[in-house]
Amino acid sequence: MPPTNVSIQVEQINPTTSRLSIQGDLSSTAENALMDAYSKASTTTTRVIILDFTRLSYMNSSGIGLLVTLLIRMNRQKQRMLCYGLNEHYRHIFTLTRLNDVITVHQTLEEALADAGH
Amino acid sequence: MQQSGHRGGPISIQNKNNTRTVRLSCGQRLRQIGRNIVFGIAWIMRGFVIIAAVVFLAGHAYIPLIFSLLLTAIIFALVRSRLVSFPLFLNRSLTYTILTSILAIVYFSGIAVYELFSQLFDTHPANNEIAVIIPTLITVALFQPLRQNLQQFIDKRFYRHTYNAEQVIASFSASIREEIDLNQISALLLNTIRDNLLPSSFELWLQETTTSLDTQGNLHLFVWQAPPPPPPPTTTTSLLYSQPEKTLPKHLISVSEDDPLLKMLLAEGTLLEALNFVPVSTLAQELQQSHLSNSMALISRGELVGLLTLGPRLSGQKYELYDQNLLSNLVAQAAPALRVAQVVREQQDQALAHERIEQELRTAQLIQRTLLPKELPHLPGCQITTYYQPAREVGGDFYDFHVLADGRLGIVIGDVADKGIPAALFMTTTCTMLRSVAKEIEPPGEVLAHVNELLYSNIPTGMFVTCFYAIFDLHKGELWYANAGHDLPYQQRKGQVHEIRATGMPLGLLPGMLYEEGCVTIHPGDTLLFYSDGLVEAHNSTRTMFGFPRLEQLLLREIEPAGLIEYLLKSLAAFTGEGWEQEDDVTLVTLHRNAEEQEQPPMLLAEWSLASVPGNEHTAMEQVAERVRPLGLTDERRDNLETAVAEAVMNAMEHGNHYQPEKLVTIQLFNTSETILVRIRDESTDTLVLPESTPDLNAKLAGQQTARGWGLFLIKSLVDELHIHPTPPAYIELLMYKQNQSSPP
Repeated sequence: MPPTNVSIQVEQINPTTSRLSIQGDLSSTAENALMDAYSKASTTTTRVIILDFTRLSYMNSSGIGLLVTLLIRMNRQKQRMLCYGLNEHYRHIFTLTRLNDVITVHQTLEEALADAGH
Repeated sequence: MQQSGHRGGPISIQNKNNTRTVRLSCGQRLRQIGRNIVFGIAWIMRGFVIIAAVVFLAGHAYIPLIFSLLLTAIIFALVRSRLVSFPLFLNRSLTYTILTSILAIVYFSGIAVYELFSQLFDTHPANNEIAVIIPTLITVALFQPLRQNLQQFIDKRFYRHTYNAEQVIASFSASIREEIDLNQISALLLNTIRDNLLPSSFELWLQETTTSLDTQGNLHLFVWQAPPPPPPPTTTTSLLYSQPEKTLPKHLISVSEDDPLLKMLLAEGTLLEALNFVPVSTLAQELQQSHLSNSMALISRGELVGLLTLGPRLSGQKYELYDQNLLSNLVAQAAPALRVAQVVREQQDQALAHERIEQELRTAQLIQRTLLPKELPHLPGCQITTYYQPAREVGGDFYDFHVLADGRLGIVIGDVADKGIPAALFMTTTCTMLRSVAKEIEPPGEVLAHVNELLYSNIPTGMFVTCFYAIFDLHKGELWYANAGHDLPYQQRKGQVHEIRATGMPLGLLPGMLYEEGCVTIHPGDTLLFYSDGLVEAHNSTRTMFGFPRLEQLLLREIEPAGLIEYLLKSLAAFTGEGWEQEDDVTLVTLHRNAEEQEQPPMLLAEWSLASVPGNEHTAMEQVAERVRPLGLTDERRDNLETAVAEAVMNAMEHGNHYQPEKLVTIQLFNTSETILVRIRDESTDTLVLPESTPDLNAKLAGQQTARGWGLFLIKSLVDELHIHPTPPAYIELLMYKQNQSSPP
């Protein structure tokens, strides 16, 4: 098993909103870390998950695949995914893949929280 | 009357009125003498009346009788010898008799009052001189104002016709003196006629233009409707000075210059009844249809300006001599004013039309220039040049380039069969359709067929579009094309010229059309010329056409590709000569493939290998980034290349080497003057097969596709060109242009 080069911090902002702060690479090696983090973040009352990409160093096609998998799980729970802190290159990739249609992209946490209804 | 108007020119007549004017002038002079005599007599008569009164009071009754007889004899002699106008004589006699009587009464009453005053107050008059001086002074002071008022009263009471006519003509003359607006003059004339003649209907039929005889010898007359009646007048003054209302042109009437009534109107210059001419005259029939019974020609300097037409009078009475004279006077003044106004209006209309055409031309040119590509696409190893010169009236030429995936280039050249703004607008539509269809469909013939269907349902009648559409694949060196009735492009190759042939109907003419496709190899050193008919259909002063053979001959000469367009334009200018007015848009597009392209292979900058271990794609990405940094890519484009390299390396490690650490992935970095090329190879001996399907996010979210499978899509999206060499030793190449160019769609 290749070494994991990612750490994900989970924070429950309130009963309906949680934040996953991703540090490092979002690639195939991040699968377990991401899914574990989501399991922690998601409760019966969670409606919104905010992904913090401010410390993301690399994301590849496998990382995009992981986000799609996570989205499928969240859709089943009727949860929304928001994100902030993406750099210009990854914003471009979100546009190319149309991920920005299903993950609302914000500049800052404040914007994301406002969108989440706070 | 002589009518000397030639076809297309104004009608010219010689009017009998000229002679009449001379005679009238003579009569006027005699009347002037007569008036002077009457004035003298009036003065004498007044003296007689005063003397008669004095003598009568003094008891010498025979003296006034003698004077009266003498006076009667002089007046009789004057009237008899026609030295004065009898009505005028009566008028003045009446005026001065009454005036003298009133003044005499005032004078004697003054004396009587003075006497009475003296007796009442028992004062003796100082002397008789005062009794005479005071009434005399009063009489002198009263004379002038009393005379004017009396004359006016008599004119109004007994000579109303003459009084009105003079006033009307004076007022009309003052109103139109400085007027040059056709509407205003027409309205003034019609208002004046309405107010003074009270016709049941009346219209002014004016010549459409100052030269409105058409080739059939017909005269076109514009009908100016009568203005609506004003509110009921309260005084004569308000009638005479009422403001003209706006008149509106109604419709056109065509009358032959040989129409009997028209001829008669021109010859007589008087008011004529149209009824008698109905069986033989179209003009009379037109008048009858409009319930107009009478007409009079408006003539200025022997040329017909128009016709004044009147219906019967509201009172049922006929138009009398007095009315006809009034009309003649009004028409004589209105005709030259109307002619001047017509000329002014024509010049204004011409200026407006000219300005409108110029504006339309500018708009059409702007539309066309806005749509044509502002920047030419960059194709490594190729030179593209374009030239576009719209004709004064834009002809609808267009060209366009579509940057397609894998470094291929779509080339469009076409021509909308129309001119001006409609052509420019439809050119926009066609270009937009071609762009959107070419994104969805690849084969050029199918693209044209699809656009033909779309255009057919939208195109205005009589309009169609010729268009040549091709896809140039630089790596294969092939041009894949189809043609919708456009002039065939030429391929210039080693001193020979070939037409690039394919058949197909122009777009928008018929539905369900099929378009033949063709494919030609474009070798290094070849030049393609795309052009519009503005070049080959240009004519010189002897009406000889430039033509295809001449163009082919020019292309056979060895011309530097970069200068080909300039050379063709110089040849065109030499052919047409100086002062040539361009008949149609001239559009030229050349594509030249450099001859030395294959002689200078890209320079290998670096080559290195990596073990097939997860995470090494990260290393590869960093190594490429470091080596590419000095080569001039923007940060954004370098990021794109790095991500694409990582994806390609990961793909090679996973699918080619199956993550066997001992198997290597080799990376080669090439540099040319225009591109950066990264070649990635694994150790697989199998043919490289890449997934065909494009990832669809919605399908993935719905569970219809796997969540993964984004790699190849990302590579294609992030680099300018992706070349795949599937046969072993298989490799893929990622190519980035050094110039700023948007990524392929």
